[in-house]
Order: sequence, then structure tokens, then C-alpha cells
Amino acid sequence: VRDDAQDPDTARAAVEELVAAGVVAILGHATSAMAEVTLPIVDRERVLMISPTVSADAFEGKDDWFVMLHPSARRAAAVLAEHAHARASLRRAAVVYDVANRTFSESWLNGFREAFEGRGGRVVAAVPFSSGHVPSYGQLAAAALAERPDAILLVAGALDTAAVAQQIRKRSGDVRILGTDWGFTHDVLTHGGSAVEGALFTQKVNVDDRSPRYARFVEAYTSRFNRPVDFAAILSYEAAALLATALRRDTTREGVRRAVLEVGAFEGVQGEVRIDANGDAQREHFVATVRGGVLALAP
Amino acid sequence: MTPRRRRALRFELSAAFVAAAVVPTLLLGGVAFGYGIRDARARVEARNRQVAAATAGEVSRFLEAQVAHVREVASAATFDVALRHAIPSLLQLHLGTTRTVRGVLLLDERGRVVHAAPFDPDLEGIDLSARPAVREARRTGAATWSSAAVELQTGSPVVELVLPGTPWTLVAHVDLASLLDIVARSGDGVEPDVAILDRDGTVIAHRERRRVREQENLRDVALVRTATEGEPPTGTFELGGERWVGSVARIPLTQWLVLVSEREAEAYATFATLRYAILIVSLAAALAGIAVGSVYARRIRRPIEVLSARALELAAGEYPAGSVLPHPVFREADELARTFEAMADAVHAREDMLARSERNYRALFATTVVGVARTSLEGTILFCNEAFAGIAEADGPEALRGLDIRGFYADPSQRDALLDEVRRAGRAANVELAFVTSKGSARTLLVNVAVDADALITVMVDITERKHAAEERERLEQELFHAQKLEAIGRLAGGVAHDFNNLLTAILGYASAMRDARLEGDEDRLNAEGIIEAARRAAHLTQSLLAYSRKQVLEAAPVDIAGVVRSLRALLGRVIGEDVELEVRLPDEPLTAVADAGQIEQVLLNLCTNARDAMPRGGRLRLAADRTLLADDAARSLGIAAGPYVRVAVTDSGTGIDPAIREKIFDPFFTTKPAGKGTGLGLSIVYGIVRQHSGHVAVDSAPGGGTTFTVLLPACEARPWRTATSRRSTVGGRETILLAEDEPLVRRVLRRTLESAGYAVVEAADGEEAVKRFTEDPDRIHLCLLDVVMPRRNGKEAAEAIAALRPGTRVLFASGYAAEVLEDRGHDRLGADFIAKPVTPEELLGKVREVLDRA
Repeated sequence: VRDDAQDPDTARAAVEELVAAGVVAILGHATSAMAEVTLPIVDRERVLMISPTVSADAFEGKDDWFVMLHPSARRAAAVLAEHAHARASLRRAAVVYDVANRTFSESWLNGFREAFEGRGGRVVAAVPFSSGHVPSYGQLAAAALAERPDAILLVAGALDTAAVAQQIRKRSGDVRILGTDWGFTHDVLTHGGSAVEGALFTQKVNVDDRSPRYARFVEAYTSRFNRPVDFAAILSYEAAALLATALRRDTTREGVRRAVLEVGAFEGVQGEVRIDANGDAQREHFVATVRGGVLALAP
Repeated sequence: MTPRRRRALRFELSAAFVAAAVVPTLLLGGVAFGYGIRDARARVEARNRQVAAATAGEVSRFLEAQVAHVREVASAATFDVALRHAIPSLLQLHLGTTRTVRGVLLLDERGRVVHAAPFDPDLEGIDLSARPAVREARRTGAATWSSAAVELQTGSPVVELVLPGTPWTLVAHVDLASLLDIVARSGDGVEPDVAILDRDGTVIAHRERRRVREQENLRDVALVRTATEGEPPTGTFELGGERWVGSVARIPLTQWLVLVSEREAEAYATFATLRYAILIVSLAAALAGIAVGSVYARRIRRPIEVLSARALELAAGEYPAGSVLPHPVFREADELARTFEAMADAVHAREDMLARSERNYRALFATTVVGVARTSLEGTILFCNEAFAGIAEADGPEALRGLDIRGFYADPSQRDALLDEVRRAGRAANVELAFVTSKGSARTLLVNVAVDADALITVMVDITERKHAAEERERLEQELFHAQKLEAIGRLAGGVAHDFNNLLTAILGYASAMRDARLEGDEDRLNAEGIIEAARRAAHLTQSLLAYSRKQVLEAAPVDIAGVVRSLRALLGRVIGEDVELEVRLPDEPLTAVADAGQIEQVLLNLCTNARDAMPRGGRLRLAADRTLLADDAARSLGIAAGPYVRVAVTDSGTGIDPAIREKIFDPFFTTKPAGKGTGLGLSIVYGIVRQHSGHVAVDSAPGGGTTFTVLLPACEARPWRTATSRRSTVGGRETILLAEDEPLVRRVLRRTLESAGYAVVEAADGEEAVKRFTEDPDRIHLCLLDVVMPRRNGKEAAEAIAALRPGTRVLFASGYAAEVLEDRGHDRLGADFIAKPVTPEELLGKVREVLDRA
């Protein structure tokens, strides 16, 4: 286990160490930014890297040594844009996005813009920021509200999403807050409080799932970590399960990659997950909303 | 089942010594180790508990200090409502007094931030009511600690302390970096390892900052899991592939845990060393045990090996002299050696005795003339002695080994009967069996069979010769009996023959004189001829009796038997009649035998007559003669000597002979013919004559299948000088004959007969007188006719005396005695001519003339 510490140099060093230790595959990273800097290493060393959560247009459709279980950010953005336009009748949107995870967040920005504007909406402002170096969440909120949008999309981590949401709500009671699945963990509820009430988030997880399989998973996870299940938990579990399946077939670097790509589809926590020939997962996207401090599928 | 391989003494002793050395060491070491490690574990656990408790206490004090501090701030803010505008300054003032409380927020009733210190406009107005700690604090009204979080920038754990109150709820951000100091202090030195975990089991303080930064979760460590559920325990657990021994202490204020642990390998390092020490000592003890065991094993083994070697010598039949153990070893071994020597002596003595016994029995077995064989129950010969091999005509006993004894039984079923007897009675005794030797000879054996374990002992005696001898004896006894019977008849016949013949000579002589004195047709002449005929038949009867009893005087000479048959042919034609066809088969060369031709003619006539009587309605009679050679066996079975024989066969196609009477046909007076038709002497005469010629007569007949009589006569190589009896002439002569006859009646008849034929007769009443008369005028006498048996000097003595006076004088003996009587009296070697009484005048004159004319 190595910690990339969300730092490019640390991430590179960590992956080099793992490759030198002779691992046949790597589970990680959690963010596209880190994946972007280590992808050349795994391609060069021909070591398969399976990321549970990375999702960016830049990695899609490539015959490389990288497998993504997170579905396309662009498509998720398109789903949210469609929902916002069609269901919520939103027409003017501002986007606040974290450039510390630029690869991902710009995929989202572009994807959202394309889909939203394609349907007649308009992205009125795009406000970048870098997590960890935020002088004032209030100023971010103010910048986003400057063009009087009726919705603000926050492409950021959960705590940042919650913090910006609090500042937006301080300034505007009716602007609709939109978020990504990256931005939604349990923290967004506890830190966002009433500010995220009514916010829309894309989800890879069907939060209304009542299947026994999902119930068993939730129970086991809660018992082990004493915290609620979120998308990262599910995707991480599925990434580990996919790698274990591949290792049962072959234990060489080439063999593991071949086995993963030949799997085609496997049983995930919430049903079948398909892996295409380039190692990109194809899965359903949901749009959920916070209602009474709890996330539920959006109507 | 395969016998288990025994272990060597050295191994056993070494194992015992090793066990004796190692077991106590291991036991002692094990007990010490067990007690020691228990004690050590107790100490380690106590120390861990102590460290955990101390750490927990220190953390608690730290937290309580924070609570106290924050309460102080809260009370200041709460009680001084009038100074509300001064609250930010007040808060800031308090923050300046602590390094651990990094910020303070005051929330209104809705949970929104009213004041933030240090001041941050972003914070004011935001909603914190959804924070779990805020919600819990407001629900319980008690100071509440949030879950710990790690600041990304500093890597330090931070926590929120919420103090609910009116009008404000105070939220303080507490920096837990001090916990790292506490952990570092607690773990001063190397061990143990101290970690502080939050309620979720996440590491919030540890010497390794990495584990904090990575938020390592130890919730699934067994010790942690049980601790979160109840009483803080002590125990071992697995983590990172290693075993740890640890203790957990709970921090009541936050429900955090302090986990104090140490790697087992390090905690009990001393005992690992102790374990190695025990192992090394045990190993050393084992080596010592092996060494001592080997030494003792060698000491014990040495005498055993010597005894073993000596035992092998004994087994090989060697008995070396001297003590088994040259040097004393130890008491038990010496005693064993002495016992062994005594045993060896006893075995030696017994073996000698057995060897002697074996030699005796082997000699008995090998030299006995009784055949002995040991066979399996199925009959396979296992071994046998020389005598058995001799009986079986095999090349020694070895040649018979493995053969089936049943192959030697003429009738193999006899062996089954024998085995039945053995099964029934346990043995079979003196059973006579027919046996066939390996060369095919038939033998008769007397067999005894007994069972010996799973084999049979067969003892056999060859009684073939004895049996032959017994049969021969029986045959000889029968012959003797027959001979005695003939002797009796002969003695009777011979006894009366002399006087009877003399009487008949006289009767014939006088009757002939009476006949010759009368004319033809005169009644007296006819009467005289009747007397002559009766006398002739009486003479024939006497001759027949003498012939049967072989008491006739034979005129034996080399005779061509074929010639005799030829000469008889015409006569036979008349005898057998016209309805019987006669066939004669003879070789061209002569068949010479020493025989009395007249007697042989008599034999053939009798046989042909007999044949004719067997063919009342005609048939065929065949006469055949040839020469044959009799081998020993054949000759012995017939009771005659081996050699060349002339064989004459007379075969008819008649009624044959009933087997019931075949034995009796040669007995005198035995006849199947009606009374008056036969005398019953015909075949008995044949038998007598042939036997008197040292020959044999046999009969082969089947009822209705004809009969063949075969006569064998000893052949000779000499040229025959008599082919048949010569027909004597009855002419007389003028010569002078000296007649010596002691019976006056006979002497008168003979003189009258001779004188009537023209001869001059000088009479003498006995031998003495005959010599005297010859001496008186030797030249006048041409022939001496001498009775053989006379008083004073018998015919032979008289002839010898006469021959002495004038050699070459012709002598003709006459006698009514049987031949045997004459032989007994020494008359058989006279070489002179002989005429048997009774004699008719014609026969006398014919014989006299024949002798005189022979010149």
C-alpha cells in the first residue's frame, strides 16, 4: 500500500516503488489528476492499473494499461445537464470547478456545457479554484452568483462542495445546487447541512436499491468501517473483486490485463458491470437529490 | 504375513539411552518453558495494560483539560450577554492562551454560525446543524466530541468539541497533535507500540505519522472489535502477517481506544532463546545417549555375535573345540556361553547318534533284497532303494524318482483296491500283485503298504521265481503221481508179463503144432487156429499194458519218420475207410529221430483209428510231419528237453473232444466208445510210447471243430538206417542153434518150432549149461538163442562167456520180462538182438533167420 498524498511527485514515486517491488497490478488512484501522472509509468512498465473512481475523457477509449470502473465523466455530466434542463427547468448555470483535479473537472465542465447548452441552456460562468488553496469559499460563491444563474454546478470534493454550498446558500436561497458523484459522500450532508437540501447529484449508486445483495454489502461495510456506504466504497470493492477474478486466471502482468479485458462483464454490487475492450466500465447513471438530510433518487 | 524386520540392539540401546537422556531434559525444559512463558505473558500483558491505562489516563486528562478550557470560554461568552459585541475579542483572547484549541464557533439555536474566532466571514452564517456531534450535543445537552479528522495540510488529527448551551452552542476545533506527543512518550524506548483509535477504529495517533495520515482502520483487529463492544481486553491478534500481544484501554470521554501491543516474537524473545537452549541441550543429551548406547551395545553385542557365529558353525556341522568366549565379558554372557557349549556338546552327541542310526537304516534300506519305495498318495515315487529298482529293472533308484508307480501295475486298478485297503485298515499286508517292469517283463510281487504321514511306504518282494518253482513243483508232483500210477500198472503188468508170455509162447507153440498137424478143413485145425487167435490177442493185451507203462523193450535206432508215415499210407487207407479223405503232407528231406519204428507205427495207427472213430459220417484226415526247434521255455512247459524235434500232426474234422474229458483221454481203459468197441488203451499206448521215446503228445480240440494230436519226437542228425519195420520171412534153415531156456514148457515149444523148420537144436536148461554145451563143440553152434532171465547164470553172463570162447558168435535174446527189468539186470547194453515173448513160431523163425542172414 502506498499513499499518493494527492501529490504528483509522491504519486510517481509510489507507483515506481510498486513496479520495482514486482506487483502484477495496481489498484488506484482515486483521482484523475494522480492517474494522469502515473499512467505513463504503468504503460511503460506494462503493469495494469485499475482505478475505482477515476473518470476523465482523456483516459477513455484507449488501448492502454489503465482500467476505469467509474463511468465516463462526460456522460455523467450529460445526464445531469439533461435532468437539470428537462426536469428542473434550469436554464442558466454557473460552474465552480476544482482545477486541482483538472482532468476530471474539465471533463465535467465541458461535458456539462455541451449537453446543457445543446438543449438550450446556458453556462453563464465557469469559476475555477484549487482545493487546499482556497482563500475564501465566500468569494467563490459570489463569483458564481455574479451572473445570476438559476443553478450552480460544483465540480469538487465533498467537503469543498459542502463549503461552497454553504456560501451560496448564505447569498441565495433559491439557486439550485448541482454536484457530481465525486462531490457526494456522507460528508456533504453533515457539512452541507441545510445548504445542500434539494441539491442534485449524479450517482453511480442506486441509493434506493433494496436488493439483498446490496443490503448484505451495506451491512458488511458498515460493520467493518462504521461509516455509511458511498460510491467510493462500492467502486473500490468492485475494483478489488475484478482484480481477484483476474488473478485466479493468471498471475503474470500480461495475463492479468488479458484476463480483465476478457472478462467482458462481471457481477458488481448493484448488478452487472460491463468492461469494454479498452478497459472502460459501462454502467448506469442516476440523478439523486437531498431530501430531509437524506439522499434519494430525484424524481 | 511378512515378519517385521527387527531393530538392531545398538538402535534399541541407543534409543533407550537417548530417551533416558532426552525425555527428562525435554520435560524439565518444557515445564520451565511453560511456566516461564506463562509468567512472561502475564508480565507483558500487565505492562501493556499498565501502559494502555496510563496513556488512556493521559489522553483523558488532556481531553478533560480541553473541555475545561472550552467551558471556560463558553461560560465567559454566555454569562456576559451584555458584552455580546465583545465576544469575538473575548474568544480571540482565549484562543491566545492555548495551542490546542485552534478555533471556536458560536452557533445560534438553529445551528448557524454566529461568531467565529479567529474571525472568518465565510464561516459566519453557515449551517452546522447537520453535524453529528452538534446534533448529539444538542440532543443530550452534554459536551460531545466529533469523530476525528485529519487535516490534509498538517497531517494532524483534529476533532470538534461541541458544548451545547443557551443561547449559544459552542464548537471548538481541537488540535490533537498533542496526542502524538503522548503516544511518542508512552512508547519511549523501543516497545511497546501505542496507537490511539477513534470510535470507528481509525488510527488518530501513532508514532508513524503515515498511519494517521492514511487513516488506517484497525476495527477488524479482534482485540479492537471486542474492546469497542465491551470490556477492554488483553490478548493476542494478527496484524500485517505477524502475531501481536496487546492490551486495550478505553478513553471514557470520547470512547476512543488506546491499543498497546508488541510483536510476540519480540515480547518472548528470551523464551525463543530458552527454547533453542532446551533443544541444544536435548540434542547434546541425545548424542551422548547414542554414544553411550553404542558403547554398551558393542559390549553386549560382542558375545552375542560370537555365539551367533558359533551357532552358524553348529548349523554347518562344525564343532570347534574350546570355549566360546575366550575372555570373560560379564556374568550373564559367560553363563550363556557355558550353556551354549553344553548345548553344542549335546547337539553333537545327538547328531552322532542320529548319523549312526541313519547309516544303519540306510545300509538296511540299500542292501535289503526287499524293494522299498516311498510314494505320494497320488502314486509319484519320491524315492526307493536299489532292490526296488532291481525289481522294476530300472537303471537305479534315481531313474525312478518322479515316475508314477501305477505305471508298473499290470492292472492299475489294483493299486486303487490297495489304497482302499490302506484307508480302511491303515495298511495292506501281503497282497499278491502282477507287476510289469520298465522293460516289460511280468513279475509277481508280494506287496505291503503302510501310511507314513502324507506318503505311502510300499514294501515289495519279488516272488516270481518262487511262484514258478511252486507251479513247477506242482506239475512235477502231478507227473510223479502219473508216473507212480504208470509204475504201479507197469509193475503189475511186468510182474505177470514174464510168466504170462512164457505161457502164451507155449500155447502158441503147441496150438501151432496142432494146427500144422491137421489138414485144411479139419475141425481140430480150426480149433487150433481159434486157440492161436485168442493167444495172439492175449499177447497184444500184455504188450499194450507194457507199452502204456513204458515197459516195452524198444528197438531204438535212427528212423526217418517221414518214411514211416509214407509206408503206413496204404495201410491207413484201408483202416480209415472210403468216406474219409486222407491227406498227407511231408517234406522231401528225411525227418530222422531215434525211435522204435514199430512203436511209432503203432502210435500213428492208434491216432488214425481214433480219428476215424471221431468221424462216423466221414470227413478229412490229415497227416503232416516236419521238424521244429523247441526253446527252453516251451520245452520246460511241456516237461521235455529243449532242442530239435520231429513233429507229427494228426488232424481230423470230427466231433472234437469235450473239454471236461480232455484230461482223461490218455488214461488207460478210459473210453467213450460203446462197450466191446474199444479197449480204452489206444491213446494211453500212444502216450506211453511217445513218453518212452522222451517225446510229447498234445491234443488241441474244440467240440465240433475237429481235433489235432501233435506228437514230438527228439530229432537226431544221424542218417536213418531203418525206415520201417521189415517184414520177416518165416523160412527155416540148416544151422545149429543153442537154445537156453529155463522154462521146460517153453523150451520144448521153441525146440519143436526150430526143428520143424530144419534147424538142429542143442538144449540147455540154464546159462551155465548153455556155456557148457557151447564149450563142448563151439564150432557147431551158429546161433545162441538165450532166455535173458535164467537161474545159475543168466542170458547176459552166458553170452559174455560164449563171446569169450568164440568172439562174433551170434546171439538172440528172448524174454517175457519188461524192458525195465532187463535194464535193471544189466541186459540193456548187450548190443545183441532181442525178441520179446510171447512169440509166435512165425515171428521166432523170422527173427532167427534175420540174425543168421545178417552176417
